[in-house]
Amino acid sequence: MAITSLTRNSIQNPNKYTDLLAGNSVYEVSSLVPIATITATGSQSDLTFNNIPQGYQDLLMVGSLRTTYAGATSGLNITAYYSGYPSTVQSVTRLFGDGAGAGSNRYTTQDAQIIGDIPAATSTAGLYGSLVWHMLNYSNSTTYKTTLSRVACDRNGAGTTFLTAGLGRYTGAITTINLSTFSGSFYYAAGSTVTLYGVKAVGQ
Amino acid sequence: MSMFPIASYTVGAGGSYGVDLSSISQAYTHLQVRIFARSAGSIADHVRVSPLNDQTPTNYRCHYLYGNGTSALSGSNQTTAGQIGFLTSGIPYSTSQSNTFATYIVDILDYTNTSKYKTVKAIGGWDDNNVSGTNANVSLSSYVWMNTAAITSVTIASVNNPMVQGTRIDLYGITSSGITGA
Repeated sequence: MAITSLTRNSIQNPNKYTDLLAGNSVYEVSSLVPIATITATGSQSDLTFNNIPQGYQDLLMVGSLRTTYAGATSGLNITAYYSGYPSTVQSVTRLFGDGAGAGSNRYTTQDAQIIGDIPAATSTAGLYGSLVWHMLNYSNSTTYKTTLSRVACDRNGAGTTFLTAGLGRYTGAITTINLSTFSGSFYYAAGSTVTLYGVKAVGQ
Repeated sequence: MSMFPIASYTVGAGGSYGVDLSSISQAYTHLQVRIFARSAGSIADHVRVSPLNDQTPTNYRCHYLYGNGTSALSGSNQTTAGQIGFLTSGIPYSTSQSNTFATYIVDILDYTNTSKYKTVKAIGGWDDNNVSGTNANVSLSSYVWMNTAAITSVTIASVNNPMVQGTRIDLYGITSSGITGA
């Protein structure tokens, strides 16, 4: 009888084989694995990933974000941490351009990494900023945590793009990531989303 | 995008300049090099990604934009002997904040295509809470390798001094889709 259809769910141990032939083939699974997605309700001043699994090598976060702050833009602040981590140990070096010029600045000894701006309440409806955030070696317990992020906030006549390197001066493995507005009076707008991915190492 | 690990190298206790990766699978469309690095030396250093089948310095050109916490700066260079390849914009060294490593993500597009010169882009950098002042920076760079040969092996190594234990270099292959057209 010919095989006319085959679904992944019908295969035992689908991650093991690339083909159905008896032999030594190994099934390759992408090393970029989604962990969780948060969709803002419109009443959250923080978006938080808790209990991040420690089985990956690196983390990647991708977001589409806007706040309800009563202005054109508001700052995007990210803290990756673990229970009992020290305070005021975050810092960033930023490169940015706003269409008129380019610049660079630095924030030191902060509680969060201030990585860029995203659209807020008075920006045209439907405009959301984009975020791509990397942390390599997030579960390593001997090195400080370096982050690399890009934030894009183009508002059709205004806007800024950011490239930021950040440092968390602690060695603990990261179990929580918090995106904060640093305010209880405004929130991430409904429709904002952020997804966390794990990046597998060779051999995982 | 599907991304698959090809090779990984971690610097051990004795330190190391880096690694030669040979016989790179030609089954992918793009390559991504992920670098987490710190130099053991006392001077500024860089990591280079060099296709081993071309050691001609003038075949590599770079344009870059970087920020050092004070100014945004831009430049261009052509590699020289001893610094051949795609150079990152800098990694921490001995007088930088301890335990701090730079992160770079280097994308080599269409690395198997024998009709194209190779275009490479990189983002990366490091921050150390202003311990190193303007030596800490974040950058975006573009490179061209004026050679149409497929990339089959690369050296990923520091330029001036060995890198410290904890430095990690990973090579990933990125596939394209078999679906064509609308």
